[in-house]
This record gives sequence, C-alpha cells and structure tokens, in this order.
Amino acid sequence: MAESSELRRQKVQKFEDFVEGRLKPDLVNAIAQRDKVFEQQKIFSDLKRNIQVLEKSGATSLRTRVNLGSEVYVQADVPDTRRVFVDIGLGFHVEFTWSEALDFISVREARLTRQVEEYTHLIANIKAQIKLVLEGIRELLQLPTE
Amino acid sequence: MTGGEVKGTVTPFDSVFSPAAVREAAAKVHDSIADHQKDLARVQGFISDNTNLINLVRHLPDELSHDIMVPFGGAAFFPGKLIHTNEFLVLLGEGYYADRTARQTVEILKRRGKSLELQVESLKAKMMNLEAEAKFFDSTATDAAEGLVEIMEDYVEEPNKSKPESSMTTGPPVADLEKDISDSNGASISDNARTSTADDEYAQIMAMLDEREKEELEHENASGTNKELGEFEAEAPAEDDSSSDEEEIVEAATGSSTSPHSVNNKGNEIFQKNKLENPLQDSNCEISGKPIGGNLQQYVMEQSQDSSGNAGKQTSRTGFSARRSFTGSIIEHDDANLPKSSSNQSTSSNPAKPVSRFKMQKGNR
Repeated sequence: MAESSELRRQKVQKFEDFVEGRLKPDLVNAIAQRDKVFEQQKIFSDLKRNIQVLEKSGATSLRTRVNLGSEVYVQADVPDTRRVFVDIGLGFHVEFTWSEALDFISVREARLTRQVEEYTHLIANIKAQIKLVLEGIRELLQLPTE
Repeated sequence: MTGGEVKGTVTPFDSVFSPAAVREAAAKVHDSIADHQKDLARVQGFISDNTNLINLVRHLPDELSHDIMVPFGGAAFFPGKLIHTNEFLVLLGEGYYADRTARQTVEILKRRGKSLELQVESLKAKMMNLEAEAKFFDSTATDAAEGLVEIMEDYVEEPNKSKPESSMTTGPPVADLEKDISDSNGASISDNARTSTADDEYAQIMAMLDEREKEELEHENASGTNKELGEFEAEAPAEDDSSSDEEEIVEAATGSSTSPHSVNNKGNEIFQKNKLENPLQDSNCEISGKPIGGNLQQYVMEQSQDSSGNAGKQTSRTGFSARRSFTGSIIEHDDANLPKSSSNQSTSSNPAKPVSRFKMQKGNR
C-alpha cells in the first residue's frame, strides 16, 4: 500500500515537472512570438496608412523629424517621396513605388495574419495540454479517496 | 581571565546557523547580485548610447546637411538628408520638448550622463555591500562546517580601573575633560595611598628625566627653535599615539619594581606631570640623576620635543583649538617628595594627557 502511494507520488511529481518545466515555458515562448508578429502587423498597417495619406495629398517632398536616439530629433528633408524602400525581411529592402508598396503590404499583411492564427492555435494547444496534465494529476490524487 | 570557574557560554556555530539556511541566504544574495549586475549592464548601455549621441550632436553642425535614409515607420525609409543641423528638438521629460542648438543639446545630454553615472555609482555601492554580505555568508558557512564555536563572556569591570568610557575618545570636549580630570584626581589619591612606599624610586627617576629634558632643551636652544617649531606643528596630529607609545616604553623601564600595576600608573602620572611642567620650569628641577637606559633617554628626548612644541604653540598661537587652548588646572599629584613646583601648572596643562594615560592603562591589562 505504502509502495503504491509512493509510486503515485512520484508520478504526480513527474507530471508537475512536465507542466512547469516544459509546457509553461513553451506557452510563454509562443505568446512572445505572437506578440512580435502583432508588432509587425502594426508596423505594416501604419506604413500602409502613411502611404495612402501621401497618395491622397499628392506631395512629392516631405519634411519630417528623425529621432537620433534618447528622444533628440533633427529635421530631415525628403526631396522625392515617390519611391520608398520597404523591408521585405531578412535584412533586404526593395525600392517600390507607392502602388507597388501597397501591393506588397497587402501580401505581407495576409501572411502576418496567417502567422498570428498559427501562433494562436499553438497557444491554445499548449493550454489544452496543460489542462489535460493537470486533470491527470487531479485524477491520480482523487482516485484513492473515492 | 585565568580563573578556573566557567564565566561564559560556548555555542557551536552550526547550531545557530544551520548549513541549509546559510546556503539559502547565500544563494539569495547571489541572485540579488546577479540582478544588480543586469541593471548595471543596462545603465552602462545607456551611458555608451549617450556618449555616442553627444559625439553625433557635436559633429552634426559641421555640415549644412547630411545624406541619410529617413525612416518612414518601422519598416520603410526614404533617401533624404538632414537639414537645419544646428536645431534639435529635445525631450525634457513629461512630454515637454524644447528647441535647442547643438551646444545646448550637448549640455543637456551631459547632464543626463551625469545622472546615469550617479546611478552606476549607487549600483556599484549596492553590489559591494551585497558581495560583502555574500562573503560573510560563505565564511559563516565554512566556519559552521568546520565546527567553530562562539564563546561569550560577560564583561566585568575591574574596580581599580573604573574610568569613564568617554575618556577613550581622543579629543574630548572641555566639559568631559574636566570631569576626566576630577575622576583621575580621585583615582590618583587612592593610588598615592597604596604606592607611597615606592615614591622615592619615582622621585629618583623623575629627577633623572628632568635632567635629561633640561639637557635636551639646552640643546634645542642652541640649535635654534624656528625649525623645530615647524616640525612640531606637522607632528601634532599624531601626538596622542606617539605619547601612548612612549608611555609604554616607560612602563618597560619601570616594570621591575615591586607592585608593577599601580606603580606604573603612578609613574605615568608623574611623567605627565613633568611633561607638562618642564618647558616652563626646567630651571627649578633638581638634577640628581645617574645615567639611564637608552629607552628612557629616547623617551625623554621625544617628550621634551613634544612639550616644547606645545609650549611654543601656546605662546605663539593662543586659541589654536579647544584641545590646545584648554587651561583647566591639573592638580592631581600633590606628592611632597617630587621635585616640582605647582605654581605654573595651570598655564602648561595639556588636556590630551588624561586620555593618553587611560590608553596606557588599557594597554597595561
């Protein structure tokens, strides 16, 4: 009797270790990844809006301020805004016209949305696994009392 | 301290500090150190950013414009250039911005850098504290492991050495000094009663010392006092220590007499007496000595230098400090068989002496 309870105790210990050491870090990691994708999504939607504003106003030159770091700004002048360099990933930038850029951004946004869905799915999966293991532990502890 | 009966308690270290608890505490302190290390790295990163920015801001106005890629959101940029390179918009905090020139911006940034450096300093100080703590825990752990024991014994004051604690401080205020003096006066009277048989011996030694001091003074007068005065002023701050050393020497010289402890007390009081009086009244001294040991002679030489230095100060610089200018009378030794006169005492008494005497007594135990 004492032997079986010892066995059960070890099993519960193993399950708990799995939840704490494996599933929960995985969950935190997945959430962080998804947050990064959300950030990207926001950047591209901002870019899209900015380009649309530029298109609407039809301005070909632009005055803006550049952040040098530590919240110190200097005025900057852009003589020709019709061509814009957009980050396409892996450190490459491509020179687009406005319409090309908007096309690219819509493709990119679709991909980012898909990524967000994937990560959401993954997160739900991990949460389900955690729930399952916790349920298993509960059963292990409750069975003898029944 | 040589008594056979049990006076204190003995506690093994590992019963007070269990090894596991010590280890836990040490781990906690180490974690905290690691946290601070991270903070420190972060702040140092800020500092390097700040210095880079200062360099950039300093050199931007060198040119009218700079070709740059102007960022357009996080993921895009335009080719363009910086214009108005001597105009900066700087965040002052709380959402307020100010237009500044390059020079003014550099000043703002330098002030930011200073506050960052202060943060680094405080972090380093904290880490030093924590490291000391960790070292303490580690050493406690090893001590406990080695089976060290703590021995505690209640301190029982010995009756014939009942001096006020305040006389341990090296530069007591005048009020304390007066209390001191009256206390030591009472003590010395009892000393006198006990040691009157040995007085002759002291009288003899004192006479020898007086002779030596007189010789020394004559020598000084011959070699000129100006130079000496300068030296004494430089020596003055260390005087307390040196005088206590000298007294120990004297102890050694008089240590062979019958009742060493009280005798030494007595001898020192007399010495102080003579030290105080000699510069002003050495001509009154009886010279009836015979050659004495090198230690004693050295003592006399040093002593006479000291006291003549004090005398010089008293004449040339009245009100030098509370310690120096104290003129309360020390009338503790009224031994008739000592070669001295008490008429000049008040002018030459030095308040630092009771202190050093106490020191000597401490050394005596």
